[in-house]
Formats: sequence, structure tokens, C-alpha cells
Amino acid sequence: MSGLSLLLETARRALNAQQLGISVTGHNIANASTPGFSRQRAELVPTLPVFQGNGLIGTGVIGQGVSRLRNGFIDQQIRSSNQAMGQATSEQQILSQVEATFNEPSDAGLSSAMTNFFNSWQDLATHPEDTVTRDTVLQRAKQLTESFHRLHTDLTSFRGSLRDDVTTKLSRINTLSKEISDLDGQIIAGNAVGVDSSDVKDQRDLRLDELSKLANISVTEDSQGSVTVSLGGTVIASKGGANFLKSASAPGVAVGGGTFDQLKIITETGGIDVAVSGGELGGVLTSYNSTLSEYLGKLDQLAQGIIGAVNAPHAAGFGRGTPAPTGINFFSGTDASTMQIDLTDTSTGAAPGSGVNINNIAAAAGPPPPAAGDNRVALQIAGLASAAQVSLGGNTVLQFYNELVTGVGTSISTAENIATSHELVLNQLEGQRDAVSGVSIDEEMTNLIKFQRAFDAAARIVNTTNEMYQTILDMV
Amino acid sequence: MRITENRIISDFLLGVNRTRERLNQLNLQVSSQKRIQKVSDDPEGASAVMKYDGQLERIGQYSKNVDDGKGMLKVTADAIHTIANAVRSVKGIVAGASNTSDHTLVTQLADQIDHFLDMSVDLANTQFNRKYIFGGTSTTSAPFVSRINGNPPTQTIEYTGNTSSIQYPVGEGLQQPVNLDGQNVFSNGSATTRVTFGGSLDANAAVNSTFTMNRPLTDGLGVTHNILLSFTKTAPNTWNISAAMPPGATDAILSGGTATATFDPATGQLTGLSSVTPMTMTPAGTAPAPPFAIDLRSIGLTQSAGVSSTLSGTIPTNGVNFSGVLDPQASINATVNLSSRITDSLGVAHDIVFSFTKTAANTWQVGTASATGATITGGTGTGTATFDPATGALTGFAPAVALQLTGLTSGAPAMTVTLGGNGLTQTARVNGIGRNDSLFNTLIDIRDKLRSGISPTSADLDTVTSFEQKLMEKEATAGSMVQTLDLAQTHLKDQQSHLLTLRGAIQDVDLAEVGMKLKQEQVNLDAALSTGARIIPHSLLDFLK
Repeated sequence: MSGLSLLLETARRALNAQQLGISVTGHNIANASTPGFSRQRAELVPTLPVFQGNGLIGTGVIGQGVSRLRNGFIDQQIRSSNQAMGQATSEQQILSQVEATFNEPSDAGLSSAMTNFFNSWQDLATHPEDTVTRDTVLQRAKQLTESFHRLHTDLTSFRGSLRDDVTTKLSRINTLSKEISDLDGQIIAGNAVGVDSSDVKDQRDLRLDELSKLANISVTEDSQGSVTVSLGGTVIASKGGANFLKSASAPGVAVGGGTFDQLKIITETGGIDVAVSGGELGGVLTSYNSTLSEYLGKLDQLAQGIIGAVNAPHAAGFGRGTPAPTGINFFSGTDASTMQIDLTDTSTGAAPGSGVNINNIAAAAGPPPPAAGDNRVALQIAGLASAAQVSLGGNTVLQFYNELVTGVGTSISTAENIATSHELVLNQLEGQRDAVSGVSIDEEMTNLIKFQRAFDAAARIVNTTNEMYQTILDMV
Repeated sequence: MRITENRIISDFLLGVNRTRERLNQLNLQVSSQKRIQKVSDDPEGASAVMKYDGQLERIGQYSKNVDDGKGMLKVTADAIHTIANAVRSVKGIVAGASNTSDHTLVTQLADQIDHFLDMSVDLANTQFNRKYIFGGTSTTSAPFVSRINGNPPTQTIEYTGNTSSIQYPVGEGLQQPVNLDGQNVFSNGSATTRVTFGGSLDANAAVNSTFTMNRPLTDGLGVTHNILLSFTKTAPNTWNISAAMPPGATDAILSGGTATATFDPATGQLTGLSSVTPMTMTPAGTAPAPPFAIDLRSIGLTQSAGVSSTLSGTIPTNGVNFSGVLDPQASINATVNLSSRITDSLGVAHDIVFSFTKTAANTWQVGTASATGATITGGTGTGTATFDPATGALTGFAPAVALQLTGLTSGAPAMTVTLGGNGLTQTARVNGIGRNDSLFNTLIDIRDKLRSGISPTSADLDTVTSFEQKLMEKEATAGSMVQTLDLAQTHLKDQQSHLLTLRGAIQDVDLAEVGMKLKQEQVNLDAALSTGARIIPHSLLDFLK
């Protein structure tokens, strides 16, 4: 090839290459705020030189294509942080609702109801002959049973609502698995015809990020750029398609003073158990299966403890009347939901709680007929407020409840700390990802000027070559 | 490192949001004046606050109990103090009465003692917060009750309370007594119960005839025990007294309690009580009252002429009257036989035994049981007698069927006898009552002695002095119990202020500190916003034409 036509060819290639550069820059600027977008770069490489006269002479540049700038290692780290943060955040949200249900420290919580109940027995101890103090005991006992009922109902219905959460999250996971496997198919098809699939990969990676917030997924990428997503050892999305998940009931587990049903995750086809241990779904499952069961179980245990501790001295004591009623239980029921005021003489076959009578409140220890001012049973029951109970692991009723409520608070602040620290890590990692993949307008503007100037220069070469042709033609 | 615009914006937002969160937290603390809103704000702190709140609530309650108990003990001390003053006055009266024989004056002195007695009993029945303070745990009925029993009627002040102590909770696991029971304050020594017998014994009763009756006694815990008293005539005008538990009774064991009473045949007055063995009752059962002595006294015991009945009216219609005594405390359906002598038209006497059956309180059904030397045919002789419960006098006698006597061994013609009740009274042959050896009964004894013209002895003066001494001791006891409660109160107040300090250190908002922090966060926010406002809008674009 003669010198001048090579020169023109080189200039043409340069013009094409700079144009590619400008259009990639334009694409980058256009997507500067698109979520998941990785900046792209025009891959410009020099063309092969030709041997001419006394040496090799360069033949210019060629745009080999467009590649995205992405660091797969950072992506992996971000996904693992996403799982931990997703779990901590969902647990923190759930526990905060539990904490609000307990409503402590306040004057309206169960702790205040228990203190008031036992204090009312002191009032009865100081005035066992009064009707007013008996009535106070009855009212305080009503508040106590109502507090237990309210807590139990609120916690149980809240626990039930977590089932809906699981369903919602599973449906999102299934949607994402489907989209990921679809996008993967597009990438492979693109690869086959040599089409650049950077933007499709960006979309897929965006969904992988979202999926990693929901569950403890692991992602492997093959040499073709196709990914396999597995959850707890089960593949849920690959180029072959998605493997959908659903929830199922598992046998109940006894915790504290009650038995609580369990939830597990299985595949829709084949019903294989999938171990979900992280992400938002993992957080909801842990809360449903263990955390809330534990709180409800402990609440039942506390109610049982109070019922047993009060009934024992009460049944041995004597109320008011002729003959003085005795052998009467103060409370009936076996847990937080069934706890009721009994105060009924059930020896005649009457149902517990059917004949509540303040004269059946036993303040006296006897022997019968007890004196009106005999307050020894009232003293004994009032003293339960600060007496260690074997049924509550050697704690007093208030200590036991205090530990339960403090446990919720501690779990929240632990979850909060985990969430905060992962938020910081994630921010850091996203900074790193942004440093690699983010679009900098300043940089793109600089590139634009660079490509524009290069384009200008290449055009000048065409011009100059043209003038050179003119000179030669003029010579003829 | 490459920093993109997006990065700057997201970092800026993160920082500003964090600052706003902290500002909100501080603002909540200031507006609620609580450092901890929810447990998760500071789990350890919240746990401590809940613990302290529970303790403070209980301390408040203990403090209320202590105030209540102190009030009760102060009223107790005041009442004892006033009664002690009254006893001091009685002492003066007793001393004065020993040296006078002026009958009018002595009666006046007796009236003065009576006045102090009434006042003391009223004070011993003092109530505080609707509780009788001297009744032990028997707080709803007046512990000291005045009863009049016996013949002649004798007043006794009976203690109906018990000796239990009332305990109030005054701290964690701490209880303090807040009462002094009346037995302890107003009785000498242990619970000595005196049994007195009023009433009359039948002077005409045959030798070896026996009368028995149940008498209730109350022990230190307020439990009532019945004792069975037997009176056996051993010789004319001489009766042996013995006491035992009723057959089959297991509620107590009784030992001793025998005596011999002799009467003046002319007046029927008791002339002596000899061979007295001390009587002791030991209550049985689980947690029984301590054993106590029972003192046999015989004030008011008389022997009256027995039943005699003379024929009145004209043959063949004769009337019979009874004289004799019936026991007002006998149980319903109890039957007593009274023998009556009827003289026929030939002047021969026949003994007829009439049965008296108690059908209701103060009402007795009369019937004929047997006749000697005659046959009862046709009318069996019945009627109903009713009595005034206060005086024991007959209020009415309703004859029902007349008594027909035939086949008289004397050969006299058959006769009809109409029953009448003249001379019949309802008075216990023996009327024993449980009587407590208390201040009040001592005052009654002295008053009654004065009223019957007997001068008090130096022993009486000593007894009154010993009660005065005892009351002063008890007043001091009540005072020291108040002091114990005062100490408990001081301790509770200390604990309360200590807990409030501890709670405050955790839960109170340090306004100065929070104010400083708020200011600092505000400065941070302002700085972040102003810096952000400066750098974010700027890029290379601004400078390209």
C-alpha cells in the first residue's frame, strides 16, 4: 500500500476509534445515576504495523469493543455484607415491635402490674377486715391477668404476621431467581454471537445484590460470565432456570411454658429442605421459630410461676364468712393466655372463676374460725414479690420478667450494632466499587475533550493528506 | 482512589442522616426528661431502672405500712396512758376508803370507781382505722364486753379478743408487731380465768343428789371450751364441787378443780369454801393456747329452801304450786325433775314428781312423771311456764291438762289437781361464768365490796398498784415499738433516697451535657450542609464553554 493511502486509512481508523470513545463516554454520562450501572470503556488497540521500505510502520488504531469496569471480588464482599445486614435489620425491626409491645420501662407495663398486685396484698395485710382492701386486691389481680392476656395476644398475633412476611420475601426471591436465570440466558446467547452484554450483566448483578439482602446465597461465576446461585446448598438460579421455594410447617418445639409451631423453607418441586440462615428471610425465620417462641414461652412460665406461688398459700388460708371459706385458689389457668381470677369454691363442682367473691380472698392463716385481723396469709403472698421462685429458676417474679425484657433490649442493641457496623462496611465496599465502576462526570468530560481533540487531530491528518495529494496532483 | 459525584452525594447523605438521628435522640431525651426511652436504648440501664422502680414502689408501700402501724401504736400508748391515770386516781380512792366507815361516802367512792371503770373499758375498746386495737387479731368486735350473770347479779368484763400479734411488713422480709393485746395489757400475769358461781342450791335436796351443767370458758387464743361442773350434796348444807371435761371432749385437759361449799341453814348464805384444789386447763390440738389456771370463787352462791307445795283449794279440785329454780342456760330439751308434795283430804301427803322440759329459751313444758301412793289416770297434768330472762321471775303459767289422781292408798277419794306456777323461778342452781382476772374485774370487785359496805384491804391496794405499774410498763413497750418503727422509717427513707440517686444517675437527663451535645451536633449539621451545598453542584461542566 502506498504511503499516502495508508496515511488516509490510519486517519479514518482514528476518526472511527475516537467516535467510539465519544459514544461510550456519552453512554456513561447518560447512565451516571442508573442503579447497578458499571462504567464502560472503549477498548482501543493499535492495529498491526506493516513492513514498508526500511521498517515497520504503524497503521493506526481500532476500537475492539466496549468492556465494563467491574471488580468481582468486591461484589462478593458486598453480597456477604448484605446478608448479614439484611438479617440484622429484619431482626432489629421485629424485636423493636416486641419491645414496644412490652412497653417498658413505664407505669403501664406488666412489671408495674405485678408490683401493684403484690403491694395490694400489703394493703390487705394492714387492713384484712376491710372490704375496700379486698376489692383493691381483686382490681389489681384483674389488671395483672389483663396485662398477661394483652402481652400474650399481641406477641402471638405479631408472631403470626411474620408468616406473611416469609411469604412476601419468598415471592420476591422467586421473582429474582427467575429474572437472574433469564438474564443469564441472554448473556450466554449474546456471547455466542459476539454481542457485548455489559449492560445485561449489570442488570443481573443488581438483582444478585438484592437477592443477597434477602437470603444467604452464594454465587459462582464461570468463564463464560454465567452465574450459579445457591441457597443453603440448593441451586435456586442458573442458566438452566430457577428453582422456586415455598414455606412449610415443621413439628412444634416446646419452649419455656408452651409449645410453638415451626416454619421451614422447601423447594416447590421435590420439597427438599433449604437451610436459610441469613438475610432478611433468615432473620424473620429465626424470629418466628426461636426468638418469639422463647419470649412467649417465658411469659407462660412467668404466669405459671405466679399462679402456683400465689395459689399454694392462698388455698391453705381462710377467707371471710361462716364457716370461713378455705381451699380456694386465687388464680385458675396454666399459662399467660388462660390465667384468670378463680376465687370460687370449686368443691361443689362450680367452674373455676364462676363465683368470684372478695370474701373468698384468703388473708388469714387460721385455725378456723380465723380472727378478723389475722393477716398472715396476706403477709405471705405480699412477700412473694421479693421471694425467689424455684419455678422461675431461682429468680423473683420481677427479676424473671426484668431479664426477659432486658433480653429483648439487648438483642435489639446487638442487632443494631451488627446492622450499623455492616452499614459502615457496606458503605466502604460500595465506595470501593464506585471507585472502580462508578461514573465520574469530571472524568467523562475530560475523556470527551480528549476524544474530541483526538478526533480533531485525526481530521487534520485527513486534511493534511488531502493537501499532500493536491500537491502531487499539481505536480502532474 | 476515584471519587465520583454519586459517591460524594451518598456519603454526604449518610453523614447528614446520622447527625439527624443523633439530634433526634438528644431531642427526645430533653423533651421526655428521660435518658432511656426504651430498653434497647441501654439494656443494662433499663434493667436497673426497672429494678429500682420495683424497689421504690415497694418502699413506698412499706413506708405507708409503717405510718399506719405507728398511728396504731400511738393510739395504743395514749389509751394506756389515760387508763394508767385513771388507775392512779382509783388508787387514791381505795386508800381513802380503807380509812372510813361513813356509809354515804363509801357509796360515793364506789360510784367514782364505777366512773373510772366505764372510762377505762371505753378506752380499752378504742378503734383506730376501724380496728379495735386491743383485741389481738380479733379486730372487728369490741374486745371487752360487760356481762351481768349470777344471783345476785354480778358484773364481769369479759375479754373476747385473742393474744395474737398483728405484724405489718416494714421492709424486704421484715415484719414488726403493731399491737398489744388486751389480755397482755390489762390482765395480771398469765391468762387466769376465774369461775364464779351465782345462783342457789336446793336446801331440801336429798343427800347424794347431784346437779351438773356445762360452762363455757375462753382460752388465750379465743377458743371456747366447755367444762362440766358437778355439785353433789354430801350432808345437809354441804356440797362438794368438782369440775371435769364433758364426756368425750378432747379439746382440752382439765386437772384439779374440787372444793367443798358450806351454807348457813338459816339464811342460805355461803359460810365457807374449803379443800380447794387449783384447777388448770391445758388446751389440746395443733398450736393450742398455753395452759391457764382457773380460779374457783363462790361469790353469790347460796342455798335456798327447796320446792314445797301445799294443797290449796277444796277437794276434789286441788291446786299445786311449785317453788324451785330452773337453769336459764340449760340446753333446749333439757329435762329437770322437781318433786312436789300434795296432801289429800285425809291429810296424807303424796310425793309427785313433775318433769320440766325446756322447749324454747325461757319456756318450760311441765308434765307429771310419777306419783307415790296414787295412780295417775285420765289427766296427766301439763302446763307451760314462761320466765323473764332478766329477772328470772315467772311471767306466765298456762295450765293445760289437770292432774287426775285415783286409787289413793290412804283410801281418800279421787282428786283433781290443777297446776299453777306460783313460786317458780328460773335461776341457775349454779351459775358459773368464765371471768378474767383483769384490771376491770378487780375494779368491779372493789366497787361491789364498797357498795356492800366492805372496806378494801391493803391487798386490794397492792393489786391496783400492780396494775398501775403494769400499765406504765406497757405504755413504755408501746413507745419502744413506735421507736422501732421510726428506725424502720428512717431506714426506708435512706434506702429511698439512695435508690433515687442511683436511678437518677441512670435515667435522668443531664441537661447541661445534652445541651452541649445538641449544640455540637447542630454545628456538625450546619457544617455538613454548608460544605455539601458548596461542593455538590460543582463539576467540570461549570467551567466548560
